Amino acid sequence: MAGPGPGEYFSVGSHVSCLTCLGQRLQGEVVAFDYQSKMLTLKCASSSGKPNLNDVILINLAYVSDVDIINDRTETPPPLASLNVSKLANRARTEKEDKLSQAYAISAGVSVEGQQLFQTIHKTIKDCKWQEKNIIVMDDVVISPPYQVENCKGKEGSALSHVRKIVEKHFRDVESQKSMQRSQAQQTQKDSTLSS
Amino acid sequence: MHMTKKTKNTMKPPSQAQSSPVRSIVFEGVYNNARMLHFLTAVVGSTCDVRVKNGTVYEGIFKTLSSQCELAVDAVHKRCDGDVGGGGEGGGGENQASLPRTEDITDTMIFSPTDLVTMTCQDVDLNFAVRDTFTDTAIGSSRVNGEHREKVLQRWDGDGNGENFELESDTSNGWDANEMFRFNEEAYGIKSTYDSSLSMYTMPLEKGNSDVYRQREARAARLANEIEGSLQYRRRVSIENDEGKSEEEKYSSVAREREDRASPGFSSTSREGKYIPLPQRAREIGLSAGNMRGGASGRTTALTSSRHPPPSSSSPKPPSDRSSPQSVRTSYSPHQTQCSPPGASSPPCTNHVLPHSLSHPQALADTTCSSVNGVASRSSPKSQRLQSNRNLRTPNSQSSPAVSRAAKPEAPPQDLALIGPGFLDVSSSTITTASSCKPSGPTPLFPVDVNEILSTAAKERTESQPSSSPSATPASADPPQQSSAPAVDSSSSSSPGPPKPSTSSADLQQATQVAPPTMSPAVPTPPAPAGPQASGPERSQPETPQPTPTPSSSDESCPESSERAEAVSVAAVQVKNSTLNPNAKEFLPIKGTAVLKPASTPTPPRSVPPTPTVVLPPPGQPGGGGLYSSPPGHYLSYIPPIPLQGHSIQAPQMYQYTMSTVNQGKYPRAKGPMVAPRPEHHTSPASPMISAAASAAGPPLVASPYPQSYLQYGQVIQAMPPHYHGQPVYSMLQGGARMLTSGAPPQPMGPPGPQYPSQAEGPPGPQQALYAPQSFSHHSGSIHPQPSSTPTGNQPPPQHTAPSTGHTQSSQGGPQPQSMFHPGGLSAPTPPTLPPGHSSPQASYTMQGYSLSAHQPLPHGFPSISQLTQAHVTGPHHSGGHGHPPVMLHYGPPQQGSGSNPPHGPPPQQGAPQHFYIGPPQAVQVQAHPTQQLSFHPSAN
Repeated sequence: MAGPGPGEYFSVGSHVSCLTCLGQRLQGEVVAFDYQSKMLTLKCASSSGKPNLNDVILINLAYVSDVDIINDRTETPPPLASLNVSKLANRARTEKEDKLSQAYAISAGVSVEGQQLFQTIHKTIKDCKWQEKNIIVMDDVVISPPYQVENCKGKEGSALSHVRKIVEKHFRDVESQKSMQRSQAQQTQKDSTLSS
Repeated sequence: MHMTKKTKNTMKPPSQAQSSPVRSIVFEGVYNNARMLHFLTAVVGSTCDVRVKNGTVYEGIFKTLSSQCELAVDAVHKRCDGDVGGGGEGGGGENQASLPRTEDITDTMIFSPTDLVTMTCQDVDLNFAVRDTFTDTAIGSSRVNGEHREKVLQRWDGDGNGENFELESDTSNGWDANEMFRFNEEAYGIKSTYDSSLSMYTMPLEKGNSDVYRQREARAARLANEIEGSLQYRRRVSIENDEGKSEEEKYSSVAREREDRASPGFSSTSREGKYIPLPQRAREIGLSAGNMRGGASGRTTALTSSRHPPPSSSSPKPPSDRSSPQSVRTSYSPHQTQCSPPGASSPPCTNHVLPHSLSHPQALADTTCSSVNGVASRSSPKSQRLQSNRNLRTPNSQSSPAVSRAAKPEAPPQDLALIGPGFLDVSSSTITTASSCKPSGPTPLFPVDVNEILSTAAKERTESQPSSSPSATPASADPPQQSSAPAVDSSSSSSPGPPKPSTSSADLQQATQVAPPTMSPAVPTPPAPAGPQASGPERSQPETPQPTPTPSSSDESCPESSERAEAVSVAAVQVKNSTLNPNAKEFLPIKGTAVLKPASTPTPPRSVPPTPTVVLPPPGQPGGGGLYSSPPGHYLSYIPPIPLQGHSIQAPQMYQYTMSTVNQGKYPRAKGPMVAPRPEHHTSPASPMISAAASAAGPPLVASPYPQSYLQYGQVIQAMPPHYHGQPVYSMLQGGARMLTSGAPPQPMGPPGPQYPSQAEGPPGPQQALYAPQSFSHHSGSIHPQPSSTPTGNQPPPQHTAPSTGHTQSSQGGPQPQSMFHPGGLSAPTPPTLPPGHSSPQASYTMQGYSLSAHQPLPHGFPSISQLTQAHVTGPHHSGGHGHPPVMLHYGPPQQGSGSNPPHGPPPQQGAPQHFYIGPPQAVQVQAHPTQQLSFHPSAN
């Protein structure tokens, strides 16, 4: 039951590097360590490079070799803020629903573009679902493959025009995103080559 | 097997968490690590990649984790080995390959820590759930109407007025009338006709010089003086003007009973409603104890006949053990607070009484009487102490059937009457607190509570019994050893996560332990020093001449003896409780919520060092021996007490907690937790027996009065029955189940009353009966099984052992007992907490949280932890109704046998996952080979 505390193997706030039995090298800041379960939680910079996000890695030290403490920190770790559990639970639920919904679409043979469009619409309008390969928005607008603006059909009105705007913007964003990704991918490739 | 067990474990924790309202949950394993819990909770709902031993990667949405660090992941699909990319949902076309199809997704999978290599959550916003709603940061960053710009906060400038304006300096009461008149005249030209003599309404008084006038004037003055000098007048005026109340009294939400104040004269302290820091209290207690000790030696003989002496003796004892008692007290304090109401006090009494009542109908009547008395007269804290002593005595009387019984009826009333106030406190402080709390109502409630407690106790007994059992088996060296081990376990258990729930049991154990030290050092009788404990030991001692020997041997545990010991332990537990009560009295003043907090705060540090448990063992041995000195033979007689013990057990858990803290102090990192479980196991066998007896008497009682307590108990009971059928071991398992069920059920079952009664009545009795036989046959075996009851079942030892490796002291039961304890502790704790009040459970939680926090220096740890647990629990809530069945399944598998785990295991596990985890019942556990098992077992649920 040793909680993190004085004399522990890993002090919170220190940076460590370890190698898992699967050959994975992990490095990050220790945010929690449980002696009994041999579990170590590291906080790392986001792998996607997003500034406000982090990667959190739970490591089973039973399957880790070669643990190096890069630098130790003796300061007392900052206090833990209380968490909004209901918010977390909601996130877990919605994330799961989204994933299942996505899986449904994939099973139905929906194209990636369609899936992406669905995700985009879903961000704005929760009331959307798959019906076979068609996206049904607010039970009113039907978007059928290939999910272009002209494929949005329904009663003429604000709903339809609104959905069209979303679809239009989506594809615009996707285009710009793709170009971004390409450049990013190239960069990462360079980095990897350099690092290796 | 492991998987199943694990699942069970996981489930249990969640259930506990589920019962957040109740908060009787004991923190186990990872749940004790506030930081770990915090960060793993912060990633709930984010996409995670779980890498298992064989290199396979599963991607899903992290849902929750168990106390054993088993990870529940929703909507899991297996990722191609080569796929290192982020979550499939990322949306990029790159992820297409990894996007799962419906048939690839497993609703829920549980990853055992033994299979887990890493779990990676990418791009997690750790502040997602942390953001405050009304801080500058939150306000500044909040997006209003889609406005993404950061709001610029404007400094409030009071122009210095704020500093210069003094609220207190302006004595005028608003506008002066003359000012108003002037203003009106100037502004509106209105001239007031106001005449300060009010001549238009009344006649001016004409003062005369006549004798008659003077006489009248004098008479009027005299009458005025009389009136104004009268107490009644003053009281009324003070009520009207709120005079005589301190700021704290007026505005504090912590209600302190006046009665406490009334008994300022008490030797310990003149509390008068003031909060006395625990350390100070401890000192006071010590002093009182020192004074009292002299008489303690004679208690055993005099106890039954003369109760007054015992009280005194009891008081001394506490001092001797002071440190532990104090800790216990702290733990109690929460209970007390719960019990704060007058009624609460009575419950404790009832608890004590109950044991007697079980044994002898008369005793019951007496108990009720006593409880009533207690309720009526709460005023003196001293009385409380006395009560506690009395309680102890009563147990003693029980041990000595005929004589004690006769005495009991008589003595209880007297003592009770005297102690009335004290009782409340004591009871609250003791295990009874939990039960008592529910009973908050008057005496009637108590009986019921007692029954309930008994039933619960039976379950818990296993836990509590372990410690006691050793003492009981004094005759045989082995038994004593066991007892010692159990005690240790209890302490250890308390130290670990479970401490909270188990605290009550722990407390009991602690009490026993404490007693042992005092006892062991001197002669068997030495117990006298420790009032409460001594009383217990004394009982046993008289009957069983050789208490001291047993203690010495106590370290090692013998299954059979342990069972007997359990019975004895029950008695011991009661005694312990009583001891606790004495201590508790001190706490009474604190009754208010404040008490809880103080206690909690202290506890955290203590809890932090789980290891202390190791320390506990030693004490337990000696103490246990003393306490348990009463031989097995008494067992039968004890049975009645058992129910009480059950109650007491709960309290013990609380105690354990405190104990653990104490131990911790001594042994910063003992593996204590492990030890605690063992005791439970040992006790479990005995508990069945007891439970049977209790069931006979108990069920009826339970049924009537306490809905709340019932709920908890009922839940526990429900879970129990299935298990019981299987084997003795099951009881242990049931304990775990209880935890689960108890946690979840309470919440869902808003109207617990009805449900519980039925459950409590039916299940408890049968269960007990079932258990009894089993327990006998499988003392040794049972012990092991019990461990299984905890999450790991047979395997439990490993779990426990791993953490508590140090516990080796009680080599056999070491781990197992611990597991037992946990369950018991959990179950037991929950019930108690529930009864006290809704708040009380939380209080208990807070305590746990504190302990956690203590581990982790962080002050905020508590809230977060509790929340976390809740979050994890949330899943389980769904189970509310289903909870019981699943529990059955889970337990069932372990019982069936470790060997057959695979077949049986999956179903139970599945069931468990559902309950524990979120609504979606489908849970696929990935044990050793995740991929293989991955099969989507959407558990039927």
